[in-house]
Amino acid sequence: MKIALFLLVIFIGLAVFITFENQWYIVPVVLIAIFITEKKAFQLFLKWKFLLFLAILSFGIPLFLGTKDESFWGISYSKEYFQMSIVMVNRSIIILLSIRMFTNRISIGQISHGLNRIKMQKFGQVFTISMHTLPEIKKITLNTITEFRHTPRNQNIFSELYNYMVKLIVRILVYAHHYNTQKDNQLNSQ
Amino acid sequence: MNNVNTSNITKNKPILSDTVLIAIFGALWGFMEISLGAILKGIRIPMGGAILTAIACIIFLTGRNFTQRKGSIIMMGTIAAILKVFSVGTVIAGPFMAILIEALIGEVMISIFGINLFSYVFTSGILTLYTIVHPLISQGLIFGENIFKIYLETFKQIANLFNIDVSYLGWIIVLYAGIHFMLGAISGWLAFSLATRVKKDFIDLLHYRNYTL
Repeated sequence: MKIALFLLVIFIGLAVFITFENQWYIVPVVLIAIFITEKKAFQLFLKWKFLLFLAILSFGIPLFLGTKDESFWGISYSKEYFQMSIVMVNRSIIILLSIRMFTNRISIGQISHGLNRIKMQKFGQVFTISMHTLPEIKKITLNTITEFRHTPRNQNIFSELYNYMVKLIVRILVYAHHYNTQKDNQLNSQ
Repeated sequence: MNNVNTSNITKNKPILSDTVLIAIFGALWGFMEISLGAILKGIRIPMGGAILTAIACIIFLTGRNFTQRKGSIIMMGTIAAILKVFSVGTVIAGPFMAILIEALIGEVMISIFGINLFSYVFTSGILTLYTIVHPLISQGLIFGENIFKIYLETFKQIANLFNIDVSYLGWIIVLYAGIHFMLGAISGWLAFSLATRVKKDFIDLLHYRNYTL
């Protein structure tokens, strides 16, 4: 986790300082480093929406915005906007790949462990409890939603919805109470 | 039974500890972000982000009503953001930052104004307004400040093409922001009303089951 976090900070730091002049050195180096560290991060390029956005940014923007001062095979475009777009595309690729690399390399367990170690106002403990209770909270929420959907409408839908929201929170608090009691009993028995 | 002081729920540790409350409301917020977030993203409903924020406000503000611990909204938000990061099929960077910033704004606002109807309505209103600004902030971070230059230039070109006066745009933005604020205000009011009603129902339930407060 430490290495992944260190690399994330370094790569994002490099991405922020990318200019049109230095990008030819920075971008390939960072891309190779990310490829060696986490190949799966490159699955980002399988998303067609992301590719379309990059294509519009790199080739669409210079064709429509700014002063058309350059020409390529008879198609005039703005050199200023083309350079700007290329820098933006490279910056976004590095930032998004770095974040993917980081999240692919760490697990919820590692985060929980890390938070426990830094003792951030008992956050580690809170996080561990939330992970333990999440499946039950999902169950309570989904059961309440199913119940709401199958209940005959005696009142208007908003009143009904409000009552079910109250029910959901009360059920969750009751579960929290049971969880608390269970934990206390465990501590007492130890 | 109605004379029972509802603050006992949180003041007496054995009933519900702050740690468990924060964990549970954080998990609920996270679950909502993963499930409803994916649905809203899938159906591409207008103002989806604002709707998600409004529901998040209902959850964390209701939760904040039961715990007196400062920083609890930030903790709930961090749990929700981490859960969102690990949810499959979502673009993670934007929502992760959005949840953390929402939690931070919520925490600051509630710390300043306290727990009352006004602060709930105002905080939720501001947070849903923030959903308009958030894409600009996150895109600014990812693409750099030049993205704003492109947006501005694109807008000027569109305005020229359709002969739209700039003042009209101002009114459209005000109207759009007003709708967002109203949505937030309603969710804030709902959170306050919900917390009051839940406290009563929960106390009734505990009393019925012979739990002492």
